[in-house]
Parts: sequence; C-alpha cells; structure tokens
Amino acid sequence: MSEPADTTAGAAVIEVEDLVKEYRGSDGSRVRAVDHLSLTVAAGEMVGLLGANGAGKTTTLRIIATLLKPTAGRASVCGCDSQADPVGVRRSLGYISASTGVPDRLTARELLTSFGRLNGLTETEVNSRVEWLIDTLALGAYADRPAGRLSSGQRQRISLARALVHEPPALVLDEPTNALDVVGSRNLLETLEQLRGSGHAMLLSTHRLHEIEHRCDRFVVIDAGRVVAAGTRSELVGAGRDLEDAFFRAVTGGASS
Amino acid sequence: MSRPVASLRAAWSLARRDLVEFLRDRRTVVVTLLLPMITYPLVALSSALGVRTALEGTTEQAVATPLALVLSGPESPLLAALLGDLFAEAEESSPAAWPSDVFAEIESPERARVLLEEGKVDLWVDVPAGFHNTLHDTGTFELEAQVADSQPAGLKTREQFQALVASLAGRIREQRLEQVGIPSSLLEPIQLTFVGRPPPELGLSDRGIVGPLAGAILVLLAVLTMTGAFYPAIDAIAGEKERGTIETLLIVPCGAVDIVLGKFLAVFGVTLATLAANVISILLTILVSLRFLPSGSAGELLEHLSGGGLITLLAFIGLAAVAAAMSLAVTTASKSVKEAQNTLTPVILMVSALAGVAIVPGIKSDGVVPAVPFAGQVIVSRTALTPTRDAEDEADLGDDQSLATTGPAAAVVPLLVTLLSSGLVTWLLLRGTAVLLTDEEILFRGPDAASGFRRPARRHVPGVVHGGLALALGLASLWYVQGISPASIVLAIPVQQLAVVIPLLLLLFWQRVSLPQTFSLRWPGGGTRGGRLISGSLAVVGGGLLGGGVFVLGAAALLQFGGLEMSPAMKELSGKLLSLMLNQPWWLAWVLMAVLPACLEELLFRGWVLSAFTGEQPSRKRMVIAVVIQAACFAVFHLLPERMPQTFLLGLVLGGIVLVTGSILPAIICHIANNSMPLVLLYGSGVASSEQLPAQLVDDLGQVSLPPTALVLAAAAILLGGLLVSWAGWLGRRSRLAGMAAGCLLVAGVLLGPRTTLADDTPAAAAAPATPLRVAVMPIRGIVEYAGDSPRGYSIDLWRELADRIGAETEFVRMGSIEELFTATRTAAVDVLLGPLAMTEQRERLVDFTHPVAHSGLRIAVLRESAGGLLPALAALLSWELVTILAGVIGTMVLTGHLLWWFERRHNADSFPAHYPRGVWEAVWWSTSTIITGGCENKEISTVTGRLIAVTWMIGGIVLVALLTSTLTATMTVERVTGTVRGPRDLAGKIVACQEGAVAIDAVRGYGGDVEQYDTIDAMLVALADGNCDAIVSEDHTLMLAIQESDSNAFRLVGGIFDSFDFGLALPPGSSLREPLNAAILQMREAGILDEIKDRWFGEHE
Repeated sequence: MSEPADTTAGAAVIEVEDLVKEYRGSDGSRVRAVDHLSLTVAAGEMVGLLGANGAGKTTTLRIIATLLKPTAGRASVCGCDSQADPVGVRRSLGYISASTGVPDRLTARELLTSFGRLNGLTETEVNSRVEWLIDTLALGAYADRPAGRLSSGQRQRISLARALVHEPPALVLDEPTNALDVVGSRNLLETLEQLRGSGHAMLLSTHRLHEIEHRCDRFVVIDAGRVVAAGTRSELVGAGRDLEDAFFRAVTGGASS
Repeated sequence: MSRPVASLRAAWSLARRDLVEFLRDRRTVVVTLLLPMITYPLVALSSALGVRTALEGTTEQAVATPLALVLSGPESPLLAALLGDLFAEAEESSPAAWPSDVFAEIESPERARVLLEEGKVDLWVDVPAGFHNTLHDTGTFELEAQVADSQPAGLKTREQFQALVASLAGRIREQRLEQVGIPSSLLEPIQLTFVGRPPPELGLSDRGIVGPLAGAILVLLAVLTMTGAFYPAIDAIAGEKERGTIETLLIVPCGAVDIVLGKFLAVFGVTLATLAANVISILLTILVSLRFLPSGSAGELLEHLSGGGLITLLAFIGLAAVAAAMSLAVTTASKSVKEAQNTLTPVILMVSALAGVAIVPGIKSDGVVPAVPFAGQVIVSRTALTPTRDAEDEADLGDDQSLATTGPAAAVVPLLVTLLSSGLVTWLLLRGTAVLLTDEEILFRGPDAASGFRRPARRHVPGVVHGGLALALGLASLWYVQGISPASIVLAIPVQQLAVVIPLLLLLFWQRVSLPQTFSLRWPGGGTRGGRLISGSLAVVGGGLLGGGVFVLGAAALLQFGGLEMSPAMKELSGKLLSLMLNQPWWLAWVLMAVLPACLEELLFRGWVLSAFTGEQPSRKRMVIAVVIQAACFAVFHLLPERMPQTFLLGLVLGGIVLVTGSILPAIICHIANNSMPLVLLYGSGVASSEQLPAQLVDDLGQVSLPPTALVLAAAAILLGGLLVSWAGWLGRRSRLAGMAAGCLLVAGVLLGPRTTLADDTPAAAAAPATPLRVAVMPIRGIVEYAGDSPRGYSIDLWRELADRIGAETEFVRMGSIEELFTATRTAAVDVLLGPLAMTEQRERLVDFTHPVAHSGLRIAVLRESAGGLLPALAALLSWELVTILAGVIGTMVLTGHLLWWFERRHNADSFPAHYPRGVWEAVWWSTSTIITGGCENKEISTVTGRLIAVTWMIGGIVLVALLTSTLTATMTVERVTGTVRGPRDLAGKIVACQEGAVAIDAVRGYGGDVEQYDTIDAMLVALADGNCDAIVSEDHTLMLAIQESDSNAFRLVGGIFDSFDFGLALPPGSSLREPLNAAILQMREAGILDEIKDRWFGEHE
C-alpha cells in the first residue's frame, strides 16, 4: 500500500552537510563519531538512517536536534542552522529517541499542555492542539491516567504526540520502536506514515530493517560515521534478497574499502 | 534568527508542571510536611529535659528552702521571741521580703546537737547567758551558729540565717540609737526606691539562654529547609535524565537558562513550602512547649519573634533560594539519580556545617559574614532573634561592643547584605547550572565516563580545578595550623609555610605536569647568549626594585587609609615579627621573613596557581583574569584584613612580572626584596639598636609616618623596576603585555600622597608639702598614688581639705598593707589612718572611726569572654557528653548498617554485596544517608527483617538527630548560665582574688567563694588575666579605676554593688582628732565638698 514516493516530492527540510563530530575519549584521545556525513530529507519524505551500533546514527540525529554541537560541518532544519539558530530548529522539529520518555507522574493531557506552553502556544491553541492530538493519535482511552502506569507502546505514542505538539514540519526519530512489541511498533509506524502523508519530513533510525523496509522512501546506510550507501530500496537491494542483505553488503563493503 | 519563546512564561509553565509532579511524589510531601511536624516537638521536648536536668544543680540555690533552726542555751527564748517579732512584722508589711517558712524550736544543747547531726535541722544556735544584757548595753554579742555537716545547701542556710540576724541587728541598732537620742535617719541619709518596671527575674529567663536555643533551632531550620530541596532537585534534573525526559525539554524553543529557571522556581517553591511547614511547626511547638521549657525562656523567645521573626523569615527565604539553586546545580552535574544523591548528601552535610556556625557564640553578623551563603542567613536571623541587651544589665566599662549588635534593628543591614548575596549566589548558580545542563559530557556520556578516581593524564600545566584545589587545601591547612602553630615565631613561620605548600606537593604527585612550564623555571629575558644575561639581569634587578617600592608604597597606603588603629591580631603579629627581627640574628630573621616565604609562595601562587588559571595557550584576557585571581587568593592567604590591600598589590605585581618575563626568578627576587624591607628599614633607621621593647614599638608603628623622600624613592624604584622588567620582557618577545605593564606602573607611581602625624605627651604632676600630723596612707590606685615622693589621689585631696579645716600640717607615712596600717593606728604610731576604710564592727573594736566620708560597696570584676576565637568557642562545645552522644550516633549508624547488611546480603546482593567491606560500606552509607536526608533512593531493601530495621532506623534517626541537637543546646545553655560569674551569688566555689585584709574577704567567704589574697589590686588583675582566679572582688571605685588604668579590654565589671559599707578615716582609740575631724566632715558633706572630691577622681568615669 505504500509504494516509494517520488524523491523530489518537496523542498529539502532537513539538510546535513559534511558533518563531523569528535568526542574526547576517556583516555584523552579524540574519537570521531561522525565523519563528513551529508544527507537531506524533503517534505513528505521518510528517510531511514541505518547503521550498526556505534555507527553514529544517534550522534547525527542529536546534532540535527541541537542537543549536540558539531565539530565541523552544518545541519539545518527548514533553513535554520542548528548552530546559528538553534531556537529556529527547535521550532520546526519534533524529536523522539529510544531514550526519551514521559514523566511518570503526569497524565498525557498535562504533559501535552505543558509542552504546548513551553513551545509558546497560546492557551486556546494549546487546548485545541491537545484535543486534536488525543483524537488523531487515539490517546483518548488513557489521556487522563498517570503515564507511569501505561504500557511502553502507549507511552511512546504520548511521546510522539509530545513531539508533534507544536506542529513541526520535520520529525527526527531515533529508534522509536526499540522498546515496543510488534503491535506497538506497527501502530507507531502506521501513524508515522499518516504523518508523512500530511507533508512531514521524517528522518528515522532503526535496527529493525524489516519494519521499515517497505515504509521509507529512501535509506542512508552509515558505518563508522561515514555514508556507505544511499538510495531507494530498489537501488540498494538491487539483485540482492532484501534490505538486510543490502545493508550487510554495504557495511562490510564500506569497511573493506 | 528565531526569537525564543517568551522566557518567563516558559519558565513559569515548566515550574507549574514540575510542582504538580513533585506533589504527586510521596517522599516530597513527607519531607516537606511530615518531617518538620515531628522534629520540632521532639527537639523541644528533649532539649527542655536536657536543660532542666543540667540546670537542676545550679537553680537549687535560687529556690527558697525552708530553714529549720534549733535554739539552746539559757537565753534562747529571747532570741526566739525577737525572731518571732521580726516575722510578725515582716509578714504584715511585705511577705515576699522574708523567708516565711523558718521553723525554730528550743531544746536542750544535747538534744539540739542530736537534731543537728541527724539532719533534722539546718542550724543550731546556742545562746549563752548575757545575750539580753549585751543587747541592752552597747556591746557586741558573739553569736555562734553551727551548720549541719551533711547540709547540701549549707551556703543557702548561712545566707538565710545571716540575713535574719542582720535585720535583727538592724532593729536593735535602731532601738539603741533611739535610747541615746540619735534619730535613725542619721545613719541613713538617703533612702532609695526604684520606680518603674521591676527587673526581669534572673535564672533561666536570663538572656543567655535565648541565643544558643535560637541558634540551635535556626540550624535545624536551615538543615530541614535544605532537605526540602533535596528530592525535588534530584527529581527535577537527575530524575528527568534517568527517565529520558530532559532531552525533550532541551529541544523546546527556549534557552537553557529558562529551563533552569523553571526548574528552580519549582524546587524553590517546594523549599519554601518546607520552610513554611517548619516555621509553623516551630511556632506551634513554642506555643505548646511553654509549659515544658524552663520558665520564661519560651515566652522570651516568643516575645522576640515579633520583630526578629520577619527578618528571620526573609533571611531564610534567601537561604531557601540558595539551597534550591545549589541542589539543582549539584544534581545537574550528576549523570544519574544515584550519583546526584551521592553528591548532594555530602554537599548538604558540608553546607549544614556552615549553618552550624550560628550556634557558635562570638560570631557576629558584621563584616563579610552575612554574605557567606548558608552561614550568613542563619547568623543574621540569630542576631535578629537575640534580644537587645539593656545597658543596665551589664555595667561594663568603656564601650560595650555587644550593646548594639543584637536585636532586630541591628540585623537590618546584615539582612540586606545577606539577601543581596543570596540573590547573587542563586543567580550565579543558575547560570552555572544552565551551562552544565547542556554539557554534552554530562548529558549523554552516561554514568561511566566520569566514574572512578584515576590519576589524571600528564599535562603541561595544571587544570583550573587543580589550581583551585591547591588554594583550597592550602588555605584549609593554613587555617588548621594557625590553631596549633608553635608560639615561637621562629618555628611558626616555617610551619605555616609548609602547611601551605604541602598540599601543593601532594597535588604534584597526583597531577603530573611539566615542571618548567608550570613553575616558569626559565631564565628571564631572551635573545642571544649575552643578551640573555643582560635581559635576565635587568629583570632580576627590576624585580628587586619593584618589591622594595611596593612595600613602601603599600605601607604608606596602609598608614594613609588604614587609620591608626591596628587590630589586636595585627598588633600581635607585628609584635612577633619585630621581636624576631630584634632578638634573632639578622640572617635568621631574613631567611624566615623573606627568603623562605618568597620561594614557597612564589612556587604556589605564581607557579602552580597562575599557570593553572592562565592555561596552556592563554589569551590576554585570560592572563589578566588569572593574575587578578591569584593576587586575590594571595591576599586572602594573609588572613588579616589589614594586610590584604598590600598583598593584593604585591600579588598583581608578582603575577605581572612572571607573565612579562616568563620566569619565576624575578618574582622571587621581588618578593624577597619586598619582605626584606622591614628589616632594612629597622636597621637603617637605627631602631634596632634602641632599647625599646617590641610591644612599645608596635604601638609606635601606628604613629609612624614615612618621610616624603621615602615615598618619592619608592615611586622611583617602582617606575624604574617596572621599566626594567618590561624591557626584559620585551627582549623576551612579550612586548605588548610589557608595554601595558609599564603603563600601569606609571599610573600607579603617580598615585602617591605623603602624610604626617604628630604625637604629643602629657605633662606630669607637681609636688606636695610635709607636716607634723602623721597620716598613714597605703598606695591604691586613684585613692593614693605616688608620683615620686608626693602622694596624690582621692584620699589625699580629701585629707588636704580636712587638714585645712582643722588647721593641721601633714606628714604622709607610706605603708604597704592594711595590717600594717591598723597596727600603726592602734598603737598610735600615726595620728590618722587615711583610708578611707570600710567601717565594720570588727574594725571598730580596734580603732576609732570618724563619721563616714563616703558610702560604697564591693564590686566583682571578671575576664571578658574572648569573643574572637573560633577555636575556644568550638572547644567549649566539645563536652564529654557531646562526644559520647556523637559516638553513640555514629556507633548506632554503623551497627544498623551491619544489621541491615546481615539480613540483606543474601537476598539483595545488588544493593548490599555479600563481601564484607563492600557490603557494609554500602549499608553504612545507607544508614548515614537515611539519617541525614530521610531516605536512600538507590537502595532496595527486600527482606521483611531488613524493612523492619529500615523503618526503625528512619524513625529512630529523627530521635537521634533531635537528641544530638538538644544536647548541643543544653551544653551551650548551661555553659552560658553557669560558666561565668554574673553576681555575688555566682562566687560560690570560685577562686576570688581579694586584697589582703580587705572587707571583701569576709564578704566573699560569706558567699562561699575561695579567697586568694594579693597585696595590690594590680596583682589581682594579673592573677585574673593569667587565669589564677575566676573573679576579683574589691571596692567599687578602686576596682573600676584599676581596670580603666590597666588599659586592657580584658576585664569587665559584673553585677551591681553589693555589701555596701560606710567609709571613714580611722584614728587611734581615744584620739583627740575625732571631734574636729567629725565636725569638718559634716561641714564638707553639707557643702557638697565630699561629693565634689569624689567626682573629681571617679565621677567622670562613670
């Protein structure tokens, strides 16, 4: 039902150019986590960022989300540079990661309301937006229960609602399905597909290739911080069996080259 | 660029959200509301009991006890009847004035003795025959009263009976006077009645108790208020990190400062709620405990809450803000809840210690103290809550400094200071927190990245942290060494220097650095070989010139702006240094004063600290900041405020020299030159060869003025030195900074001002004539003083006036003791004994007295409590009781830890490993953490027994803390109430110095004091100052004058005049001079001349 869409569907929303990120290791030496990485995501496009553990996925996504500062290169969302105008980036970006959670002692409604206010919405905007999110993401059944008593799937949906509260044109999702069971992740991904339909640009990383194999428009495979392969599913898979196979080839090939 | 969301609104909405979250956390509610509600009643109860028990012994004497008498002997019925009359009369007039419960019975002597021995009666009075006759005659009847040996309150009994007999004697005196036709008013020219509010009852309502009690409660309040910030702060940031919600906050479009501000508002809100709950609990407790606390003290507290309460509340709101911000900063720097808890607990402990200064007496809310976070707020509150002292309470000599240092009015300015500082500290902490919050390392690298305590990698220069650490450790070690350093300055200087440097050496082992780079171990200057030599020499010479010049300039500035008064500490130091320079060989003094400090201090400040703050490749701004910081630290290390401006200036110059020349050598030379200047000046001016004592020289130091030529020379030396150093620096290719330094020095050179001071002397007195009447005198300061051969003083003036009136010539005969005076008078070896002497019956039997010339009484002098020392005050706190309880608390803590570990180790290896040292460590940590913060987040307790132990410990912990607090309070309160002599009643059991043969001896013995006799009043003062006695009792005026003239602030008079006497001149029995003298005395009294003479000598001082 979801055929890969035209890659030129919209203007580039998320742009990453020559991104470099170095950490200081525990022994004082410098470790390069991201190495001259570039990618773009256009409006209405869902891009999968694939890579082994430690390949630099999370670092890249955090730099885009202004949580980390790049050592070199630039990342921008909707034309706002993450370094020069982090507030602009934050206005246009929704961010979820495997580690982002929801406060245990607040209800979904309270959480969304508070984030609406933090994002500068007026009270009426906040109220209508929260109602809309609860309706759209089907949170109604548990919107008024403390989040600590909810399941991981329910919590992740609240997380998604939280990321969408300020109507961001771009979404960055770092392994959003990690803690979820099959039903939970399927639900979440289907919701994401709906959002893509409404023109959101999405950059998504995951380990579970089969889940997104047929959902993403394009894929970027990285290894040791460098892009080793990029393209649509058909471009990557080519003569191979499936995406996993292609990923494996790209990673080992990237390592040997 | 997009503008952030209106920040206050964002912060406020975040705060609201967080508050909702906190309130849904059970722990927060418990710590905020429940803990205060239980703590104060417990503390109040236990401290009231503690104070009571401890005071029982001292209050006993104040309570009226019944007096049981047994009378025997032939004329005992008469005595009984007389006493009976006395009571009947007394009860009619004023029942309160008399101990109405006196029981007297008449028995045979044998029976009476048995009664006394059995303890059935307190006193046995045998009244032999002749009582009646003597009373109706003019003689004195010797009455003997036997006190029971087993009497615990013997002193009280004596006092009571003595009062009885005295008033009986008074009645009989009146009767006798009536018989000879003299109106009783002759002996009582003045009847004094006080009107107005009666003085407050002495005892426990005494002001002494309020200070420590309020202090202890304030400390508890501070600690509990901080505890209120504990969980919310951990929850707000570390908790969010652990739940992964902090990232979601960091990607909302507002700044990190706004997030921190929101978090702060929420934590502050909870802290304020805790504060409010605590305050309410305290107020309720005081209301309820009115009946438990010793009478009056709670009422007194309450009374002073009205004015001081508001100030306390305001100060504590400041404290709550700082506590909230501090907790937030600490938890933000932590990567997990566990880490946050493990860091915040010791931090709160340390900060509580700061707050604990409030119960140390002697610390006052002046100077910088109110600005110190946590200590300032508490001390300001204590000042506000301590009642204002009344002037009549303690009749001190001179200006009593504590007069206006307590009470709400005195706390207003410190309150403003403390609020300002609280605001500033809070803001700085929040700014710091905002930086920490977005720190990538802390945010994402996980708990492992910083764990472990590994030796850091080798660096070129030490990091800022290690620079600060060297300073902090050095200062702490210096502080401790101050307390124990040897009295001899020859040893004290090296000890103190080592104390500062040893932490640096330890740090050097820990953090390996490049020694040449860190300590600038290079030859100054640069260029080719010959050039190096020249430029290096230039730098060294320039350094020396700068050092000498800066000293002179600094000394001039100190004299110009510092005023003439040196603080006692500064005087002491100057005295020690002078004695070092005068009494030791010059080379030893030079090494100790100049070379040693110069080398060691340069290595620390201009080596380690400066390089730590400048970093490896410093920018110019950073260099300036580093120089200023190390100079400020250098000044602080000199501890005395008077020295700080000079040392700061020196620090700036030295730092500049090192940065300009790139070498520490010129700085060392400069420092040596600076420190050598006192020696040079001393030897150069020839003072060293004079015979003056160091102490006098120190006094003179304040009067010294530098000749303008010295200042010009100093300015020239600085300019030249600065130019030379700059030149050397320029040769070493650091031209710009060198140019700047030269410019600065030029400006500094202009800022000079000469000044002069004058000293003058007071002329001495003249001589007196000599005549036939032999008048015996004894030198007592103010009464009779000898300046050369001629006496002067009150008595001399008095006598001259009398001699004029009776037309006699005088020859003064000087004698050494009261006994000698009496012997001479009794044997008529002299014609007049010019005391004036206290007229007592005993003396009356030996000599004849004239009419009284003065009326005076005895007065007590004690040592002024030393207010300055922190150490003695702390030492006073360390009672055996306290140590026992402290040991008990720690012991219980360790024991509980063991118990818990024993039950948990098999089931809960995660929290309490089975391995003994590690497991017990964790368990003891748990019990410590629980007693301090009311819980330990990161330890699961799984077994039922373990949980029982935990619950018991949690509840017991509150009691233990309460017990500890109450013991502290009780110790301090009792110390206040019993420790010092405040009036004649307190003399019991104390060693009291009296003058030989003086009436004071009997009076002091009557109050139960142990008398030590001294021949002069000065000897008594010396004995008091040396601690050989607890108090001095002597005649009011002489004592006052002696203290005033001792020119020492160490003594003070306490209590009012007691045991008053008439004073008169003594004459040999049957002297013919009596009549003319009496007539002259009466004339003089009527003409007001007696008072005039008295005023001349004593009046103006009062």
